[in-house]
Amino acid sequence: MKRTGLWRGLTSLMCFFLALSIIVGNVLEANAQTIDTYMGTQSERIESDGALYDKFTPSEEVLNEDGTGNSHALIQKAIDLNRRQAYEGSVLLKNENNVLPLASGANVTLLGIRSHKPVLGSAFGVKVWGPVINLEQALRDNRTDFAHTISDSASTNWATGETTIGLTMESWTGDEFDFDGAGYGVNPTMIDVYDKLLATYHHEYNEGAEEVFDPREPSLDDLASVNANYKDSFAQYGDAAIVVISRASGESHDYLPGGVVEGLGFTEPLALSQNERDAIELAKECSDKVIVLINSSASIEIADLKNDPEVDAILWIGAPGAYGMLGVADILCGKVSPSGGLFDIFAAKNMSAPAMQNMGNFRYANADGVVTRGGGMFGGNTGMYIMEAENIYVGYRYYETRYYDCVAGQGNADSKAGVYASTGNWNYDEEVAYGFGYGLSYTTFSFEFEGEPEFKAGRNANGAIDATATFNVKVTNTGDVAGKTSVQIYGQAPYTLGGLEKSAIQLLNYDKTQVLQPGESEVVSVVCDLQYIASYDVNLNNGEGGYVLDPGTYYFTVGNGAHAALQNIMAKQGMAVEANADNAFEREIDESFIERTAFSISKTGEKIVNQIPYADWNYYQPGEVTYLSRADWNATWPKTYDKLTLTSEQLIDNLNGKYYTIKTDDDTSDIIWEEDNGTKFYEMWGVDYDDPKWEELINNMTLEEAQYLATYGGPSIPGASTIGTVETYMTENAGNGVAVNLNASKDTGAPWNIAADDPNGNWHPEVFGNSPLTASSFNPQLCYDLGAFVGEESLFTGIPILWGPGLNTHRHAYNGRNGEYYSEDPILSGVTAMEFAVGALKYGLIAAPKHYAFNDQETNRSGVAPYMTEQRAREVELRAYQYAFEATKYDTPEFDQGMRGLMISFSKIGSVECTASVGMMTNILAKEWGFRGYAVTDIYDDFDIYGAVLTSGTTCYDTRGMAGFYTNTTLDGGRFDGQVDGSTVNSEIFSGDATAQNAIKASVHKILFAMSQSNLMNRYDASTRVVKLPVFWRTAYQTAEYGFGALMVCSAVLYLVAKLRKKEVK
Amino acid sequence: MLKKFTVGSWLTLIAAIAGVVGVIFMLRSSNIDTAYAYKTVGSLTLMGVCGVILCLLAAWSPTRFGNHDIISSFGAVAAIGLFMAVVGTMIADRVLMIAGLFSYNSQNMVGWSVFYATVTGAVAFVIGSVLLIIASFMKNAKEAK
Repeated sequence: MKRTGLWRGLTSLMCFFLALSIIVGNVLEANAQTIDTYMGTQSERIESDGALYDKFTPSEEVLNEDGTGNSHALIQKAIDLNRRQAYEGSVLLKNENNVLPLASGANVTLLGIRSHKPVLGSAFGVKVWGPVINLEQALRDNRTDFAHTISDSASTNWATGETTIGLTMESWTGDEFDFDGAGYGVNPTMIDVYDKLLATYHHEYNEGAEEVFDPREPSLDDLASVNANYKDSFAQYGDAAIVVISRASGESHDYLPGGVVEGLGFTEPLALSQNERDAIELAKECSDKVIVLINSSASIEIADLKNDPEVDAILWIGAPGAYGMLGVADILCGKVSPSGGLFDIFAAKNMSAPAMQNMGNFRYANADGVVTRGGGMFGGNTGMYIMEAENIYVGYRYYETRYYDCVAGQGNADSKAGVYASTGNWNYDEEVAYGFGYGLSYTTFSFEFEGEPEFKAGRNANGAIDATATFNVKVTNTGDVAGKTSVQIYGQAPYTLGGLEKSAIQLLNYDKTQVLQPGESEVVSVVCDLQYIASYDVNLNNGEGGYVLDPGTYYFTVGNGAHAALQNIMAKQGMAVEANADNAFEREIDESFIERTAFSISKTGEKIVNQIPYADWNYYQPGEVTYLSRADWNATWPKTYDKLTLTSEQLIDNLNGKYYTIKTDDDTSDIIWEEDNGTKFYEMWGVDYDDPKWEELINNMTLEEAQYLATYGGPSIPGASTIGTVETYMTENAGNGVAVNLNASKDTGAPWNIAADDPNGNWHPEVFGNSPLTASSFNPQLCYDLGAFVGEESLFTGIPILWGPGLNTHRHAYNGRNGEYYSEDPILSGVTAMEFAVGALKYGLIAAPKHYAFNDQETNRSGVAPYMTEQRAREVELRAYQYAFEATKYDTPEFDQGMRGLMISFSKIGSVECTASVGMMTNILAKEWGFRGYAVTDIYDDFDIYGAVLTSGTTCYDTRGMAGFYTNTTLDGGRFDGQVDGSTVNSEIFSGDATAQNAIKASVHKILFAMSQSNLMNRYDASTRVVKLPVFWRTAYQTAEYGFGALMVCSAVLYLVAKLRKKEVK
Repeated sequence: MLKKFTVGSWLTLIAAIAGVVGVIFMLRSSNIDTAYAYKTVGSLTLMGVCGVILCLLAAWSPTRFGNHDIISSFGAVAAIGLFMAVVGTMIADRVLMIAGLFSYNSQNMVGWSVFYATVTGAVAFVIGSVLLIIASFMKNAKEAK
């Protein structure tokens, strides 16, 4: 009896463990690539018989003489570049009495808990990984202490709400690096005090925005509770007091209006709390030199600090990345003169932005009754919207235009509407702390136009107009120290009161000087494409729409930021402002120079007309929304559009995803599949997009293969035997580096591959500062160099596509993800992204800017419907993408540069998903801008409108973790069940739909063309194949399966034997 | 029949109840939103129900065929296999969703509902399996004295 019970029990137990082993094995295999990335294992490898890796190679400075990779040199290059990013991007906002620079040898006190634990990256999104150099080290030391300074981030227990802090890597046992810091003595008492207080006021190097925010700054009593005599240390370290004020940025969460923890002495999250203000007061006790570092990707409300005579200097440093504090130290000690300009305007009160009237959670009043579409993998936000009633007046466009109208005495600009900081009626000086593009230096510069600006206009063979204005600006260093400066060219188009909305000032282009010695001059040529001073008129040609360049007087100027530029123009116009009229230039532009509607033909020759009428709420339900107009600032100041009621059937149908009906009876006989002409993918390196060879290649495919590529081709290039591709994991985040450790490379066959046992193998390349820091450099070359370096990272990590950089517009300061996006200005954003992406392509990395478009807040981002005018869409958000994707700067008569990758937004445009908007994806992106490349959805987005997405111009879904051609993932149902039209996704779904089949062909063409220009081609020839490798986890679960299986069988047999014996005994 | 029940029998019966709970929550997690429907919900239901029936069989058959009889023994093993197969399918299907909830998709309230239902269902099946294992080591029918 006992034996039968034992064997029977063991059989059950072994069955249980066998089942567990199988479960674990299945999960591991299904997520093998992700596990490889995070554990540094290699579960498969691409092999080839031929000699490859001849198309893209890293630069010599990161290679050893024998061509193998030099991890030390690679990290050193990253340190140097991040340092440069920080010292070029940091913005000196105030420097009374030239308190800065503070010479080496000074003894300083760091105040504010963030001085000890600054924000270096984002909690999620563009996190800074691995070892870092913190502020006190950069100011004090000359050698890294990576082993003891590893970045961290917090995670919150979903069940208990308890937050724990974890390191981004367990340990660092690799190289340490020498550096030349600021050479300061840093008050150790305060470091010790803040270090102890971190136990109570937890902070991490990577943090994000919070809906209910607490800066977690200790009070002065808290400081005293740790060390009652801490002020005694001030005497020795009183040469200067440096206070750090931080606000974090990250994916998934926003700051919200009024979203603060009560009782902290502030009412808005980007204002200073009482404890933060007390820290600044403490600094005044400590030293007569008070320096405030603004450590934030958002515009913090610092008007009080600007006007405080006891605050001597303010330096904005963004979120500077792993080693960026070296650049901050360079500025503080004067090794480098600051040269950045603000990425966004810094308002006295952020709530004064008109966009803030409609930010956050808004749900249709009758959503529950009429919006029936499910929320997909991201949950139910199909009933949420935001009304972007601020129209084109985003960021400085609002403040500067209203300022202009105030001075001009028009449009009721000088009224009460929108007053948040003014003591009376609206007053620019009270509403704005620091303007867009503004920044100081340790030296001074003079700017003068060298000769007349050169205006050129000519029509191309395709009918498009190329019209540019070239400004040659002579910049002279008129101060006493070396320095460099940006040359920002702004323009103003003629405005008629009540006519087409126009910003009074807009950035047209910029460049940056080299370092100029005192007295030295440089002529900087800035070429401005005049299409970016044109305005979009939805009513042009009886409602057809198009761009117009109204005849009249145009003004151009160079200025230290938008406000100074505008004032130059106003002075030129004879208005009563103190500015340099000589730095402004006026030019009559009429039809003798260029036709009024010339820019209604795109550079590709495509006629530009309205493409996204559904963006505008009034298109469906006329007259319900009033957009802000400078015709009457007072009457049109946005109200909060909460609980709007859906009445339009078309609007409701759009919200329910009824965009496209898959056809079943088209004649598809002329669409060629399975031709078997022998053309293979590896032959496509360098083949032009329009070459007929692409058609040959794609004709070889089966419809199922092509559909699979369009469905699952976002994260991986699927294996398709007819064209010779092997399934390859090929994408990763993010804009601050490739998110794969060196020793987890997906391309271990590369000659420069860093071996698993390399001491620096654990180095993670996401190290650079947040995007606004890059943008604030106003330095195209730096952006190119950053892109190129991330391109080199991609060669070391085997990732040919980067999901980044972020290219959405800062609609307002409260977007939690602003740290991943460059700016509120489309030209600054567009130039920065273009340079980054073109730089990345140098090493075969396809940078895919995201999120196209209108990801204007994280709140309800998956499916929220932002409504706006098409003018606003085109002149603000889309203009950034246009600039980057046209990439005109790099075009030659023989070569059209362009981008090769794009990630689409979760959000809608108006009532239509961006992924399914033919206007956005085909007519604007492909036809107007000439995009030829990979355009992927955001992760798991819009699975339920499969036909609409794959026929819109979107080339593929981001199905990260789901791919696996002909293995565990098929086209039959599963993830794509639950289509809104009731259709069933399978390999036959498009068999009777010619439009869809042609769209699939086009998608495959674009994806493979992009791939063919990437460093993926380093690995391709006729013999390329994938080989599974025996990694430890695979061996472990397989051993467990075999072991428990055998034990279960043995137990069962022994049970039967025991049972039979028992029977015999009976 | 109940007079012949032992602690092992009752554990087996409780395992059947756990299986029922598992099936209910598996179905619940599949029906909260079409985006999270199991592709093979029919098979999963069938496996879960079969597992429950096998549990009941494993509880009943010893009262007729004696302690540690073959029907109850292999019924319990098969039920464990079926329950764990359902658990495995549920987890494999939810891995990406769960990874998202703990990172970029934490705002997804529907996802969290699905997550809780999935975890409840999976835990119920695992509890059922563990009870069956424990019961397998025990007597599952009172023998005549």
